[in-house]
Parts: sequence; structure tokens; C-alpha cells
Amino acid sequence: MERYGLFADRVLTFQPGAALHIVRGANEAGKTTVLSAVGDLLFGFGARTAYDFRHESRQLRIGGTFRHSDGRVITARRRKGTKNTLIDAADQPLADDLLSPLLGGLSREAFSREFGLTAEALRKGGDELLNAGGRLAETLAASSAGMTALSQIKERLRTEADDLFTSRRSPGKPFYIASDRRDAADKALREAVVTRDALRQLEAEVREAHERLESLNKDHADSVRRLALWQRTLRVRSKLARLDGLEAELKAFADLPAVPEPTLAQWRAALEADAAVSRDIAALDTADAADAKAISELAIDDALLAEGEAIDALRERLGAVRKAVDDLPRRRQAREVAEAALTDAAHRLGLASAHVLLERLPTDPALAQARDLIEKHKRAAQAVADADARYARARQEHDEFEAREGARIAAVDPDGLRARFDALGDIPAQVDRLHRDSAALAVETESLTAQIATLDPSPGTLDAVRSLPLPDAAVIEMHARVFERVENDIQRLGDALAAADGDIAAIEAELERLAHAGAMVTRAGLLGARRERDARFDGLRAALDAERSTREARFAEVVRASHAVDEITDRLLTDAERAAGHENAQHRLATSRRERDAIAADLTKARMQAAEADAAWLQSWKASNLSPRRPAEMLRWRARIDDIRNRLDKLDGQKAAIAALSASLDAGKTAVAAFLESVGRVADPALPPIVLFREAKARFDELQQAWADAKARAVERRRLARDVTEAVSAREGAQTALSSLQKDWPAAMAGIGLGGEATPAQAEAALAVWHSVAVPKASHEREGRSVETIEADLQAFDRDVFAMAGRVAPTLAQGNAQEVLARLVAALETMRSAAASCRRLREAAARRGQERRALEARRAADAVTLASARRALDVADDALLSGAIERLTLRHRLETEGAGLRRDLIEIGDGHDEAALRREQGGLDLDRLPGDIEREQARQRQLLKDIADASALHQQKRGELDALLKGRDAGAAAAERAEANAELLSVAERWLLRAAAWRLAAQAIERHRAKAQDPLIAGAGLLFAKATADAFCGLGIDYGDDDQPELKARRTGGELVPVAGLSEGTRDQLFLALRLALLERRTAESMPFIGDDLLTSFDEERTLATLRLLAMAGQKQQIILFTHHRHVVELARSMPDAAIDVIDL
Amino acid sequence: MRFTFIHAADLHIDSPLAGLSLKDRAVAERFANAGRRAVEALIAETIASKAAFLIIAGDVFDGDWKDVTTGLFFVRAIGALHREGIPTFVVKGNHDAESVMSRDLPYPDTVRVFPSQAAATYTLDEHRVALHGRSFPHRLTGDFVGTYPARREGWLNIGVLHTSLDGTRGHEGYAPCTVGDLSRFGYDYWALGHVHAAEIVSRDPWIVYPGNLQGRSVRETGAKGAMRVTVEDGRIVDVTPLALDAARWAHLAVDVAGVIDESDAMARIETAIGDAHAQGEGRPLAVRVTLNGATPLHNHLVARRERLQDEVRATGFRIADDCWVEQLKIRTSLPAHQAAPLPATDSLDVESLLSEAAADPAFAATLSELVESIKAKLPKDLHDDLAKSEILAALADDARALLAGELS
Repeated sequence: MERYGLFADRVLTFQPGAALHIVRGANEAGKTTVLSAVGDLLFGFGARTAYDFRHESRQLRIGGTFRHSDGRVITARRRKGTKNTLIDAADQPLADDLLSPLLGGLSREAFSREFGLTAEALRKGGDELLNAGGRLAETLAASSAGMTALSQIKERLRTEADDLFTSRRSPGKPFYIASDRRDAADKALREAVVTRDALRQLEAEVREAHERLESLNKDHADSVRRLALWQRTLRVRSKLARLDGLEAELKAFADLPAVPEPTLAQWRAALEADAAVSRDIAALDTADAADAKAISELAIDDALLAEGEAIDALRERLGAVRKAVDDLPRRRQAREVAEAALTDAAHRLGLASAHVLLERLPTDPALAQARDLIEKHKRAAQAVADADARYARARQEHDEFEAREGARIAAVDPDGLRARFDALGDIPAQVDRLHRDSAALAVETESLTAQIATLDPSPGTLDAVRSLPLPDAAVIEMHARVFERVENDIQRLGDALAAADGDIAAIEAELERLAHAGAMVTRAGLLGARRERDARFDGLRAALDAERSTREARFAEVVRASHAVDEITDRLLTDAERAAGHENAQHRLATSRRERDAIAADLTKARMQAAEADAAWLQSWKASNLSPRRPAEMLRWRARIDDIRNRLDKLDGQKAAIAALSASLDAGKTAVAAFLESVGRVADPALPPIVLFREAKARFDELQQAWADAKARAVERRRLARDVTEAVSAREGAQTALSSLQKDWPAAMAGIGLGGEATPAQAEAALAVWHSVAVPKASHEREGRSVETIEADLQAFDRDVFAMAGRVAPTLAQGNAQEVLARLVAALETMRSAAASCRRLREAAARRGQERRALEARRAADAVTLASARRALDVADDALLSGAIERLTLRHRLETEGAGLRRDLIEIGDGHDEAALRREQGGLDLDRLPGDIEREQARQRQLLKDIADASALHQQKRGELDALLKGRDAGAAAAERAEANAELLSVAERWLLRAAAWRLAAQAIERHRAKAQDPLIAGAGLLFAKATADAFCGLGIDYGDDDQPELKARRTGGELVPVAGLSEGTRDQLFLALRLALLERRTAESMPFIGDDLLTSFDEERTLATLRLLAMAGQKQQIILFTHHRHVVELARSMPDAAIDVIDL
Repeated sequence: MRFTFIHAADLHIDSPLAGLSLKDRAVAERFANAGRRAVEALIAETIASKAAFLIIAGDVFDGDWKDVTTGLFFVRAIGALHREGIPTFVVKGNHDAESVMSRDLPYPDTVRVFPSQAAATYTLDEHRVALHGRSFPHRLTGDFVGTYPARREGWLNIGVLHTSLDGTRGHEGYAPCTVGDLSRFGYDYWALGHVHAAEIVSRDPWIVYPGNLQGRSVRETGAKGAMRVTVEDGRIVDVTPLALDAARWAHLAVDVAGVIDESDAMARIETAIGDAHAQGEGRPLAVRVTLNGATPLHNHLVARRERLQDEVRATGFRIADDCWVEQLKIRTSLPAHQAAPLPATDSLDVESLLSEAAADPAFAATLSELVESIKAKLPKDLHDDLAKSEILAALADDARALLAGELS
């Protein structure tokens, strides 16, 4: 690291041949920087770097030398930049692909992921194994960082896919939401379609509904008019009868003069008022007499009333006085308690009294100083005690260790024996291979014998098969082709012959059918008949000059011939179709027969060829003395023989290898016996090599383990000696601190009234007493002041009360002040009540005087009115006047009722006058009217209901029509459907991609298992055994209930343990073993494996085991371990057979 | 004498736009109403340019109306031309053929619809123009052009025809004919319809497709509208395309070859969308973005496609509140010069394992099962869409790239 982070010209050298490189550095020493530098060197700086804080970005330089497995050494430096970042020692650019032989196709991320491991990642890896539940594919995936990530992505994608869609319908999933949306849009679109027929039908319905509504409205109007007339008639009927009665009653008052109603009311009021005034004056006189008597009975004490306010003032002080009387004993007691507490404190401090105590009260600073010093003194004393105890423990531990070590035998370094043991080779593997190869040989031989037995024809024994002369496969194939061709020809020709026979038979049947319809006339027959007729004409012509009979005979012949021609012509015309069919059938029959003959000839030829091919086929097998089956079968037979011969060749090779292996094992057995003797064991020559080898290995491991333990104990001894030294120095330090505190002690004690000889416990006790004084001291002072104040207030009250009693009622001045005051107050209240009653009676007498005067004035006014009435009605006194006014009043009431009835008639008669109403009654049967009205009302209710229904229907139809005319927004529905379709397809596509991806991931993981399973488990098993110090001897595969392969750890005793049965630490080691074995499997160039503080959380035993594992893996690839723990380095160095390279940062 | 006329075709009124997956209802409505607004723009343009007449060469409607308002809308729109005294000549195409439509419209008398039984000629004496045309009687019409009448001498002859021409434009079976067939009539101008991409097929004589009035899916991108034809002294002197669409589609192929940084890819996409939006002159824009080219980001892009799609949509909204990214498609590939994969036996090479598993015939069978399982739940009319979906063709590759991208 020339210029990189905090480093400048820093070189780290990794020793070649080391099994494990440990880079040790304290925290902040730059371990992370070194890790980053390795990455930057191999893969280049990123766009930004965090390591340019000391050196400028463009000045950053890192370099390194790598050794390739083929021996090449590659040296390069790296600068930050965008191109030509690889440079040589002179800063000249190097080829960009210089590091390709090392890196292959490895990316920086893959390098970090697969070749880097932290303690946290190790722990997480162990957990992943547990999560995989032993399932082999997942377990192997978990051991590779890349496959782990793939497995996690697979699960996530699966969840995402299931969230989008599952075959089983689930309403909440986006696919089904979109599907429902699409169905709804589809429905909306169907409903939005408007047809012309629908429009016309709806228009007709609107018209019909309107007409129905109009008709109902007319019926209703008629009914309303009729019902109104009937109801009016009923309403006015009683009022008209009452009007008739009133007319009769009024006739009895015809003798009275006409008096206006206001005048009548005035007369009536004057009469009633005069009577009321007389009653009121009599009542006033009675009241005056009663009040005068009451006043004379009351006696008033003016002197007492004059001191009323002073007595009230004394009464107001009474509450305070009662409280003071209650408080006084409590206050006195509190003062005495405080004084007793102070006296007690004085005695506890050895002082004479409370007074002396208060005089010597120390200041707060003096108390604080004393408290502080006491605490320090206690802590220092405790520190001295702790240091003594620590020293005693360390000393005891040291002495016990030395005692144990004295008796122990010194261990020997087994390093010298390693080369000899390694030289023995892998005898268990050889034995295992010998067993497996021998068993395989036997199985294969048996299998081959069984296979030969199944062959037909049988070729004989296994040895006979090797030398049997057989025709070549190509020859058999040639025969097979010939057989196939010839057989196909025979088959084809046979089919054709059968078809031709069928055709001929059909044609013959057709001809026979045609012939059944009568003799067949042909065109040739017609020509023949014509020729016959012409010949007869010639005969007739020749006989024209002959005798009549001859002529007649010739003529008759002509006639017959002509008839024959006509008959044939007629039949040709009427039976033309049959004739054509017959002719055609004849023609086809001839053709078919020709074709059949040709086919039969070809068939014969083909059969001859078949016989020749058969003879040639038998000839080709003559040398083998076998009876061959058909060529196609023998082709398969020959292939199986070839396969058997190949396997026989391999069998011979296996036999040779087994013999060589057996010889090698015999030699190995001798070497093992010699080794056992050199390490103090006697070898039993009768035992097989594998048993001897296990004995040798066990002995060698025992020696190694003893050596490792001895080194660990040396480390322990150094630690114990260090502990003793540290305990001694701690004890001395504590004693020094205690001494320095002793100097300030006397002065502090004097401050709290103690001598310098006082102990910390005494001083603490005195401090506690001084702290307890403050509260009683304050209480004593406060209560003393309260008692004095209360006593002065009580004396002043007594004095004032007795002075007042002496002035207004000396007879009441007996007993204590509170009782005297109570009596004074009671007397005052009685006197105040009597004075108030006297005042009220006098005021009432004055008011009655005023009322009497007013009543007399009113009586005088009424007397004038009454005189006027008597004159008008011509009566002598008030008694007669009263009777006349009564009759006038009755007449007036009847007239008023009549006027009211006529007004009502107008109101309830719908505006008709009395005469019109009387006319309407004509012709109506008033007794039946209520029943008619009820029926009409029922009819009207039904009409209204019908109107409401008709109106609603009309409105509904009208609305439907309007909606239809407006359209149903089919465009929007179609757009919504298109949207829903798009969404549905989008969800489907998203699901498909996720589902395909997770299936692909699952298949990739399965492939990884199939590919990596066997060699990986074998390699990881060796590492795991080492890591667990042979508590386990390797790994195995078991099959679970579901027949899926599961990874298990194999105990040394052979027991298989599932992953879940391993401890957390063992799982971590299994993970590490799998990871390292996977890296070993790489065919590309091996890169260094870097562990970053990998063993942080391990105890000593596990750390040592893991270091062994790393060192073992380090024999095949470079392992670098970064750590800040010194003990990790020491443990690594204690391993007897490992070459450890420690690099200090 | 100089005058102009407007030639439009393929209005497809109320045909829905392809699904946009647009959640914002206000913006979705702007797209949904685009078809009608484009028709209104056509009428307004015809009136504003004082055109002598309007020709509509078929497919006014997308089929028989699902809703009476579709027909009423067109009658109302064209009524404005009638009030201005501008005649309209219409032939019916395969979508609104005589046998397809169950209802007639009460057109004003200035609208002349060519009959379907035989070709007819309508004349405009004022401009000495003879228009020859024939409506489709059925949806599929074979030999058709031969029935058109002969040229009328001394007049400007215009043939109005709905045709797929010789089928080379991806349409077959609709009044097939060749340019030669049309040329032989001696007409001055063939006002064609049916093909949705605007094209001047020939200039002597003029044989012109104006394209459809409004793009309806990502297959119909760019400006859409009609043709304005200028006639001077009985001779056609100019044919100019008019952009009348109310929303626009764009399919942007963005090349990200060699791009190694996602932000660089996003910048390219933003530039492309910005350019497309600028060309739309303020119209709502629905855009599909397909990334092409060999890039090391391929796996990453496939793995992040949905999140990137959201980001690209946000980019669209940054440009304009009605600039909607319909879909982001990843059709990139890995560069050929990628580092050679590790040997197949190397168990650490997860990518090789994935590639091997993806190439396994068993995986192809698995994919078929997956497709069948979702197909079983899809409505039948979407089966073809799913089968045509690009994702099926690239499913194995995309699944592999998705996993590789998630792992990187």
C-alpha cells in the first residue's frame, strides 16, 4: 500500500507454503483498509473511494505480487482512474487483462461474497443450514453465498406470484379483482346497447301511460265535485234547523225597547260595581280594629337596640376565639415535644442540655467536609481489602497450576513423524476402493451372464462371445433394408391385386345388373341392322321387275328390317343411359383385367426376390453357426452383443486394477507395521491393513493432541504469572491512597465536635445526630411564638364582653364570656323582631284609609248611570231594573247566535248563501247521504291510488325514454372494458414472469445439488471431521419420509445426526466446511479465502478446532484470517503441524 | 378558379382506445373522448378553411352503434357543415357496411351517401366536380372497383373508394385493386380510405390515404387527421396533411446500447419522451417506451422493470400532466463481449446454472404449464392477446435475466 488510506509505503508479505496467514492488528489498525485494498487492487477502484483522505485521489497507489498455480508470478500496481489503471513499477500502463488468469470471470461482488466471510456471515450461514432443515438442495445452496441469495429471491418471487394470482380463485388477488372489473365492464357494455326496437317500444309505452293517467284524472275530478255537494249538505243541515228555532224564541221579547249592546253592558256593569263597593268597605273596617289591638300589646327596649351593632361585632369574633381555645393545648404540647427531642440529641452527643447543644451546632461546610472524608476513607479501606483478596486468589491459582505441572510428563513434538505418517498414503480409501471394485466386478460379471442368457439366438458362454465370428452391423443393416423393401413390395402388390380383383368383381356385378334389365342394344347392333335394311332394299330394288309374290316377299323383308332398325333406334333413345353404362363397364372391365395381370406378374417377381434375400441372409450367418432371426431383430441382437463385448473389455481392465490395488495394500501394510513399532506400538501381522492403519492414525493423532495441549498450557502458565504480578502492584497502590487520607482527618473531626482519634464509624454516628437536630430546633421556635399570641387574644375578648353586659343588661353578666355573649345576642334578636311587627301594622292601617276613600268615589259615579237606566226602562227601583236588564241580555244573546249561524253557513257552505244551500238539499235523501259519501270516498281513494301508480309509471317510462335518448355511455363502457382487459393481461404477464423466474430458480438450485453433491460432501466431510476434532468422521446423505435426500453429519461411531441435532457452533463449522469445500471444487484459479474476525464469538476450544479446519483447507488454497485477538494468534501457533504465518499490521 | 376540399376517412367514432391502465380518471377521460373531439376538429377545420366540400372515404363508425348517441353525435357534428352550406360525400366502408348497420341516420340533404348496389356519380356544378363512389354492401367485398363509372370529360373527377389496394399494407380482402387499376380510370384524384397510416400512394393521378382521424392504440402512432386538397383551374395543385387528432400515441424505441448507468438510461428516456411530447403540440400523449440495445444493465433492467416503469411514468408527468407512459418494455440484451462464463463444472457460477436450467426442455414444459394455468382463468377473447404477447416469446430469457438482475 504505497499511498492508500492511512498507509504509506506499507508492504504485507504472505509467506509461501503457510497453511494459514493471520493478519493481526488492534482495532483501528487498518484491517478494513487492507481488505478494501485487496479488492481495489484486483478489480480496480470504484467511481468514488473513501481512502483518499490522506493522499490525493489521483495519487493513490496499491500494488501486489501474485503467484499463479502454474508457477507464473504476476506483479502489478493499480492507480485510480477510468482507463489504464493497471501500471508497472515505472507507472507505465499494463494490459487490462493482466489479472485475467487469476480472476477468470470473477466479479468483485462474487469475490467478496464467496471468498470473504465475517463472523456475522458465519453465524447467519449456520442459521441458514438450520432453516434448510437438512434438505440437500437447499443446504448445498446455503453453503454458497450466490445460491443462498438465489434461494431467497426464489421464495420472494413465489410469494409475489402467489399474491398476484393462484389457480384457486381468491377475491383479494389483483388478477381476480381485474377479472371482476372486466366482467362488470362487459355487463355494463351489454346493458349500454340501445336498439331501435327498444326505443320504439318505449315511446309507445310512454304514450299509453299518459292516456291512462289523463282518464283517471277526469274520473277523480267528477268524484270530487259530487262528494263536495253531499258533504256540504250534511254540514249545513243542523245549522239551518237551529236558525228556524231562533226565530220562534225571539218573538217572546217583542215588548222590550231596542237598547244598543254597549249601553246594556254599561248598565249591567254599574249594577254589579255598586254591590262590590259595599262589600269592600265593610271588610276594611274589620281589619282596622284587629291591628289596633295588636300594637297595644307590643313592648320595645330602645337601649338594647342602640348597642345592636356592637353586640354583632363581638359575635363575629366568637369563631376566632373558639379556634384559639381549641389550638392552645396542641401548640403547647408540640413545643414540649421539640424541646424533649433537642435534649435527647444533646445527651446522645454527650452534652448537658438542649441549650448547650444549640450553642455548639456545627456549620454546614464543616458537616459536608466531614461526610466527604468519611466516604473516601471507607472506599480506600475497601480497595486495600480487595487487592489483598485478588493477590491471594492469583497466588493460589499459580501455586495449584505449578503443582499440577510438576507431575506432568513432557510432551514430544510430533512434527518429525508427520512425513512418515503421510507417506503411508490413504489406506482406508484404497481398502474401500478394493472392496467396492471387487463387488462391482462380481455384480457386472453376473449381470453380463444374465444378459447373455436373455439373448435369442444364444451366443453361448461369456468367453464364446468374445471370439464369435459375426456379420458386421452394416451388413445386417443392408439385409434389413432389402427385407423391408421386398416385404413392402409384396405387401403393396398383394393389396393392389386384391383391389384389382375387387374392381373386376364390382364391374362384373354392374354388367350383370345392366343385363337383367333386358337385352342390351348397342351402337354396333344399330349399324348392323341398318346394313341389313340396306341389303334388303337392294334385294327389293333387284326384284322390282320380278313377280308380285317375290316383290311382296322382298318388300316384307324390307319392312321387317326397317322395323328392326326403328326398334333398335327407339331402344337406343329410351335406354341411352343404360347403354352408355354398359359400354363404359365393358371398357373398364378390360382395363382392370389388364392391370390385374401386370400386378400378378410383379408379385411373382417380388416373391422370388424375397426368397433370394432370405438365402443370402442365412449365408451371412453361416460362419457363426447361429440360426439368425429376421434382420431387424438381429440388428438389435448385434447391438446388444457389441455392448456386452465393450463391457467385457472394461471388466478386464477392472480386474487388472484390482490386482494392482491388492499388491499396493500388501506393501502398505508392511509400512504401517514399521510405523507402529517406531511410535511404541507392536503391530499384529494377522490384522488387515485397514485396522493397522487406524491404530497408526489414532496413535499419531494422540501424539499431536498431547503436543497441542502442552503448548496451550504454556500459554496458561504465562497468564497466571502475569496475574500474580498485577495483584501485588494493585495492593500497594491501595495502601498508599489510604495513608494520604489520614492527614486531613483530625481537622475534619474537630469541625463536628470530635477528637482526631475518632473512628469513621463514630464520625458517621455524630454526623447523623447533627443532621437530626435541625427539625426539632425549628419546631420549638415556631410553637413557642404561637402559644404566646393565642393567650393574649383570649384575654382581650373576655374584657370586651363583660363591659358590654354591664352597659345594656347587668343581669345577664354571669358565667364565662362566651355564655354572657350568647344571652346578649338572644335578647337583641327578640327585641328586633317586636320592633319590626309594630312598624308593619301601622303601615297597613294607612293603606286601608286610602282604599276606603277611593271606593266611595266610585260608588258616586255608578249612581248617575243607574239613575239614567231606570228612566229609560221606566222602573222605580234597582230591583226592577235588574230584572229588565236580565231579559234584554237574553234577547241580545239569541240575536247574536243567529248572526253567528249565518256566518258559519257561509264558511262551511263553500261560499253559497242560505237560499242556495236550502235549494241544494232538494231531491236528496238526507238519511242515505252518509252511506253514499262513504262509498264515494272509498272510490276516490282507489282513484287516487290508481292515479299515483299511473303517474309513477308514466314518469318511469318517460325517464327511461329520456335515458335511452341520451344514450347509456356505451363508449365509456367500451373504454372501461378495454382498460380492464389491459389490466388483466398486465397482471397475467407480471405473474407469468415471476412464476417462471421462481421455477427457474428452483431448477437451478436442483441442478447445483446434482452437480455438486458427491464430491462436495466428501470434501466437506474431511474438513468437518477436522473441525470437530474427529467427534464426527464426515458427512452422509440420508433419505427422509418424502424420499428427498437430506444432509446429515456422521459421528465417529457411524450414527447419522440431522443438521437440527447439531449444536450452534457445530453448525457454524459445518457451514464453513461446506463453504471451503465448495471453493476447493472450483476449477478456475483458486483465490485467497479471507476471514474477517471470524472467531470473535468462539470459545477457546472451538477457536482451536476452527483454526485446525482453516489450516487443513489452507493446504489446498490460500487462507488469510484477519483478527485483533492475541489469543487467536497464540492458539494458532500452538497447533503442532500447521505452518502459521503471522503478519502484524 | 381556386378552391379546396377536405378528404378524411376512418373516423371510427366511439371505438374505444386500447387499454391505457391509466388510474387518473380526469386524464383517462381526455383520452377516452379524443375520438369525438377529433371529429369536431375535422368539422371546425372544414368550416374554417372554407372548404368546398368534405369527403369521408368509409368507416365513419366502428360497427353497428352500441348506443344511439354515437349516431346522433355524428348527425349533430355534420349538421354544422349543412348550416354553412358545405356538402359532405360519404361512402360506407367495411366497418359500417350496408349490411352491418341496422339503423339509418336522418342526415341533412347536403350529405350524400353513395349507394351500395352500384357505383354512382354526384356532381357539384358550381365547381365542375364529379364524385364517383360506392358504399360497401357487405363487410368483405371482392371485385368492386370495376363497377365505377367512366371519367366525365371536362370535369374534375374524384373517385371515393374504401380499399386495401393490393394488400401490401397489411390489409386484405377489402375491394382489392392495384394502382394501375385506378390509374386507368383517368380520374384526377382517388380519395381512399381503410389504411390507417396516411400515405400519398401516387401523384399522377393522385391516390391518397389520409389515415385515420384519431390513433387508437400504440400501433397507430404519430399525427393523425385528414388531407386538405387544393384545386386550381380544374387541376389539383396541392395535397397537405392536417393534424386533427385530440390525443396522440407514440412508440419510442430508446437505444441504451453500451449504457452502464441506470440514470443515463433514464436521461435518454426523458429526452425521447420530451421530444415526442413537443411534437404533439400540447395534445395528451400516450407513449410506450421500448429499451433496445446490448447493455451490461440488461439483467438489472429486466429485474427492475416495474419500478422503472413507475419512474418513467413520473418522468412523463414531469413533462406534462397528460403525458402518460402506457408501458415500459425491456428488449435489451447482454453485450456479446461479456466475460466468458466460468467452466460449467464450477459450482459457484449461478448464472451458468440459470442458463443451463433455462435451456432445459423440462423448463419449456414448465413454462407451457404456467401459460396454460393462467389461460384457463382468462376470458376466451383474451387468449389471442396473451398468445401474441411479447412476454411469452421471451419468457425463459426474461426469467433468467430477472433472477440474474436480482442477484447482481
